Order: sequence, then structure tokens, then C-alpha cells
Amino acid sequence: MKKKAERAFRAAILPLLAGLLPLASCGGGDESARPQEKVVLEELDPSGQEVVFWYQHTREREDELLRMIEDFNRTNPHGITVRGEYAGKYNDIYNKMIVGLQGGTLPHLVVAYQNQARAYYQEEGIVDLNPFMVSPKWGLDSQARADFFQPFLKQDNIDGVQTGLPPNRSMEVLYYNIDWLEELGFDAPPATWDKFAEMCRKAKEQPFSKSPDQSRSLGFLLEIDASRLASMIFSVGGDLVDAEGKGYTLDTPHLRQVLGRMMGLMGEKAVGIVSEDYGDQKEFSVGQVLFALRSSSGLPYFKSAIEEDGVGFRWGVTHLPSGPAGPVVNVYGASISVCKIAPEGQLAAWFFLKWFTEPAQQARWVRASNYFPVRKSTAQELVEYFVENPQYKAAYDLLGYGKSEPSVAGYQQVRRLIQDAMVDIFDGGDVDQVLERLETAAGRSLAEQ
Amino acid sequence: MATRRGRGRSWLIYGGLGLWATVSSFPFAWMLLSSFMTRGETLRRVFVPEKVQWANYVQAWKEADFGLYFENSVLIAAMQVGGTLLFSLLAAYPLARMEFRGRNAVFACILATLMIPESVTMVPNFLTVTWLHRSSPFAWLNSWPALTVPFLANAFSIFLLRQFLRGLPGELWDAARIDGAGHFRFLFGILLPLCKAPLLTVGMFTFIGSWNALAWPLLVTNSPNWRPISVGLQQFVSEAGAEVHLQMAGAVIATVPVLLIYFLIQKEFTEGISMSGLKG
Repeated sequence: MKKKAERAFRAAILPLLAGLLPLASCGGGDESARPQEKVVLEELDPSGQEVVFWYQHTREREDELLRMIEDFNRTNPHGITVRGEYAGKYNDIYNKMIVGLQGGTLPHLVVAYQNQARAYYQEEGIVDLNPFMVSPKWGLDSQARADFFQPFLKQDNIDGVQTGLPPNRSMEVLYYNIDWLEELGFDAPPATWDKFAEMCRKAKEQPFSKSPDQSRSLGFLLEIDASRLASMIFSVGGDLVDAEGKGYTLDTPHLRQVLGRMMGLMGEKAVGIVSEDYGDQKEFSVGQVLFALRSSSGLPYFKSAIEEDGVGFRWGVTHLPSGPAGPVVNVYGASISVCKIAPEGQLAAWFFLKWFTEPAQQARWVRASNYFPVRKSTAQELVEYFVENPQYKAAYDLLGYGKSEPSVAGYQQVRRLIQDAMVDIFDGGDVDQVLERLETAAGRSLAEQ
Repeated sequence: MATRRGRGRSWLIYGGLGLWATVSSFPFAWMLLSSFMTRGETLRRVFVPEKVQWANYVQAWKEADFGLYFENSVLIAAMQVGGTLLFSLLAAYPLARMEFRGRNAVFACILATLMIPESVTMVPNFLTVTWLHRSSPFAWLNSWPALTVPFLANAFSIFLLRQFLRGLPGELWDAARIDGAGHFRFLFGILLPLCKAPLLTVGMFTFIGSWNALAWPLLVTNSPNWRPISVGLQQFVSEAGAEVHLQMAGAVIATVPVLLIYFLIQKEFTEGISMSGLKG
């Protein structure tokens, strides 16, 4: 009886297990989507192609992007249809791409930071855009190529390979409270780091008159973030990588100078550390912090937070205090890469990319996103916008001082290492030991790529 | 004297537990209070809103398309809970009640999978689902199968149910056999009604896991049609800044079903955990 019952049970369960077994050996990419033969771009026909575009934008930016995509779909002469898909934040998109590379489920266009694009290129997930850019039939003419801010294009050019085309850029800017500076006896933002330190000390002693909490008054809140640190290092003439951009330089006098200054000001309680997401933005907008170092993409948020929901004061943006070599600002932004799918699909994806970077579309995107355009001639279409948004114009004028963070593959891991080192140092760790460990670990991470 | 000492100890224990409960509930209280604030109040970091902003809930619901995401989450969670209960019970039963060669080895293998982090299984799972998507007559990606099938059984649920089933008296099986019952009838007719507590516990854990999932749904879906509520919550964080009041209103909306279910089954939940031999 018992055996009979067991046999019946097994008879029901075993086919189920057997059915699941083949799954264990399945997988692998769709090789047909990776053509090996040489193709002549000019002979391809992109008509009727459907292009999938993975992006990270949400809400107002996504709404405008989708409207722009609709316009492209309606007006492009090849009948190309672009389908925009929100794919999560940058890290989600990176995970999706890495997994998609193995599963053969790539989009046509993907948003990627330079180090991510480099990793995709190494895994043969994206293509070099140079052939598209210089194609006599489909490419950009010399005038259009020259119209791009060249440093932006260069950010995506890794060892001669154009891994992406920038749709926009942002930069790290110093937000400052003009009214409070005047109360402290200053008529301009700090030009040097010594002046910055002096202002922070004074801000600690003399809270802003409109601040709702007079017991909390600081010069600056530093976020534990690699980009914030990079911006400060750039401003004193340093860098995170060597001159060739091949190796990390994280145990340098510049780094010590920056960290030492911040530690000193923290010791005097004139500078603090950001303890919650966007905490510095919040405290700046209610007049508890004199300066904030943030991305220019936060300009609309600062504007509405200060003028509509905050305590209301005059504010401005500028570059970080500079060293003897003059101002340097950290310019960054994700670009758009074309994935290695069928050649016709690649060409169709290129058409959209090319269209999106044209000045008319750029101006429209600037108005919706507040990002910086990537083509110089866009400025002609933004005259009114500049007048309406003086802080944006002030930041735009800093574009000439741009410098970018490393585009080395694996930089994401090194960013985490830098952040850990910042925590160790501000937590009282030995600076020499921490920086030595950091440089060794970053070098190891680079060697593993 | 002894009574007074005992009473003092009780006060100490209850005082400590009360303090612990207060500290533990603080994040929830903060979330709830922030969800009723204006953005200005969240910027000024006030603790209690001056005037309750019910409109935040309406705005969060509309702007993040919460209606669709909520419905998706309910459907996905229901399928996952149902599937997990069925398949985990079918796996736990033979491991607990049937004698066969290699039983302990099979159980050890299942337990070993508990040590594999989710991030490691993500790629093989994705490859499997992609293969099925290409080979099956129906869609897996961008649809419910990819979101549910890979999670229809898990080692923890099998372990929990197996522990419970092992503790039931063997006489039940003897009596069932005398009545002519086979294993299926014994399992579904006799054991199932006795397994209410562990089944509800497994169901609760599965529900929470499904409700909070973000990375996997983002991997296997490309449109909002089947995306869960956690994706909706992401809408309120952008590169420009977070809208804490809306984010918290969204978080409250997303948390309410989990809390409701927990309150409804908390007695069975606690019972299920204690009967499995696990310590909290």
C-alpha cells in the first residue's frame, strides 16, 4: 500500500523534475544579433526599423523625452520607430545591460556613463560610433562635428573608439547664498580656498537672519561622494588619474591638501558631512548652510526649494575656488551608446541620436531638463532661456573650464573605494595609511579589468 | 521581597521592550508624518506637519501611476504566494514523511542553495527565462511568467514546511492508510488543514519578498504593463533632488498591504516560526 502510494507520488513529481532539467543547460546570447561580416554603412537601408532606447529619466524629463520621440517617429523620412523605455537608475541599467549581454537581449540605444560604456565595449555590447559620424551619406558634416563641445565628445572617446554620443552634460557647481554672504560682509563668492574657509568660519559664528533654526549654522556640508572629491581635487590642479589616464593617482599632495582642509574645517565645526540623501540641498534652501556643491542638473530643484518652499533669498552658482592655474569644473554626464545589434538597427539608432543632438532638439531638451546642450550653436536658440534663468547662464558660462572624471572601466568600483576612504579619514583614520591602501586597491581594481 | 524584585525585573524588561519598540517604530512614524507634510516642511525638517496634506497621496498615486503598479504587484504577489505554497509543500512532504534513498542528500542540497546570494542566481535565472521566452509559444519576458515562475519554490519555504511536517505524529499516516488514503490524499486532506500556521508564514515571507522586489522586475520587464509598485516609488528620486513628501506618501501606500496582512495573520505567523524550530 505504502509502496503503491509512493509510486503514484513519484509518477506525478518526476516528469515535473525532468521537464525542468533542460533549463539548467540553457542560456547564451543570440549570436545572430552579432554580425561578424564587414558591412558597408552606405549600402544599408534603415527603413521601417524599430529602435528600443533604454533611459533613466522619470516624470517631467521622461514626459518631454517621450514627446520628442513621438515627433521623431512622425517626422523621420525612413519610417523609423523609436520606443523609449524607462530601465531604472544608472546602476539598474548597467545590471540590465550586463545580464542582457549574456542573454542576447540588448536594446538599440542605451544611456551609459563612460566607464560603463567602456565595459560594454570590452564585452562587445556596443559599437564604435566613428564610422557613423564620418559616413558621407549618413554622418555629421564637418561643420556639425565642429559644433559639438569637443571636450564632451572626447569624454566618450576611449583609445580612439567613440563609445557614445553625449545628449547633454551637467557639471558640479558651487551654490551660494548671496544674502547671507552680504550679511557676513562679503560681496562675492570665494575666489580662493582660503577665502572659502574664512567664509565658512564666519557662517558658523553668524547664522543667516532668515534661517528658521538659528542653532544650526554651517559653511558647507560635504557629501561622501567621489564626484564631490574629484571636483575639489580638480580645483586645486590635481587629478584622479595620471597624465595618460591609464593609472590611478590617489595618494597625492592634492588629495591630502583637499582632505586636510576639510578635516580642519570639520574640526572647527564650520563644515559638516551630509548625513541624508540631498541633505545639503535641503539645508541650503532653508539658509542653514552657506554653500552647497552639487550637480547643475539640480538647478530647478534649488530654485523651487529656495523660492517656493524655502526661506527665500538671493542665490547664485559659480565654480569652486581655484588654484593658481585658474578655475576648473567637473563636467560629467551619461552618453548614449548604440548596441551591437543588426547593422540596420544600428543605423536607425544612429539616426535618432543624430537628430537628438541637433540644435533645435537640444534647445528643447535643455528647456525640459535644464541640462547643458552639447552643441555650441544651441546657445542661439536659448537667448530667452538664459535671461529667464540667470543661474543656468552663469553655470553655462563655466563650460569652458570643464574637466572630466576618469573613463576607465571599473571606475564605479574605485568610486566606492574612494568613498570608503573618505569615511575612514573623516572618522579619524590615519591619512597616510588610508590613501596608500586606496591607491593600491584602485590599482588592483584596474588590473582586474 | 522576592515579589518586589520580580516586579522590578518585569518593569525593567517591559521598559526595555517599550523603548526598543519606540525606537523600532520611529522610522515608520517619520515616514507617516513626512507623507503629510508640504515640501517646505520636509526641507525645514519639522517633525509634525502643521496641516495634514492629504493631497500628497493623491498626487503620488497619480504621478507615479500607482494604480497600475499596485494592481501588478497584487497579481504578481498572489501568483507567487500560491505557487510557492503549492510547490514548497510538494517538495517538503517527501523530505519529511517519505523514506527514500538520498533523502538527506537532497535536503542538504536544497539547504545549500540558501547560501547562494540572490545576485549570483540572477544571471542564470535571466538566461533561463530568456531561453524560455524564445522557445515557448507564449511570452515570458515583459509578462507574468518571468516575474513569478523563477520564485515558485525556495529553499527556506521547503525547510520551514519540512520542519513542521516532521513534527506531526506518525500515527496520522497509519490511520490514513487504514482508511485507504494515498500520499496525495493524506497530504491535501489531512495534513494541509493542520499546516495553517507554517503555510501562512511561508505565504507572508513570499508576499513580502515579491512586494519589495525591484532588481528582478526591472531586468525582465521593459514597460509599466507588468512592473510592480517598487518601480513606481523610484519615480520620486531624480538626479535633481528627492521629493521626500511624495516619496513617503508612496512608501506608505506601498507598505499598507504588507502591514494589513501581517496584522491579520500575526498570531499564525509567530506560531509558524516557533513551530519550525527557528529562533527570531
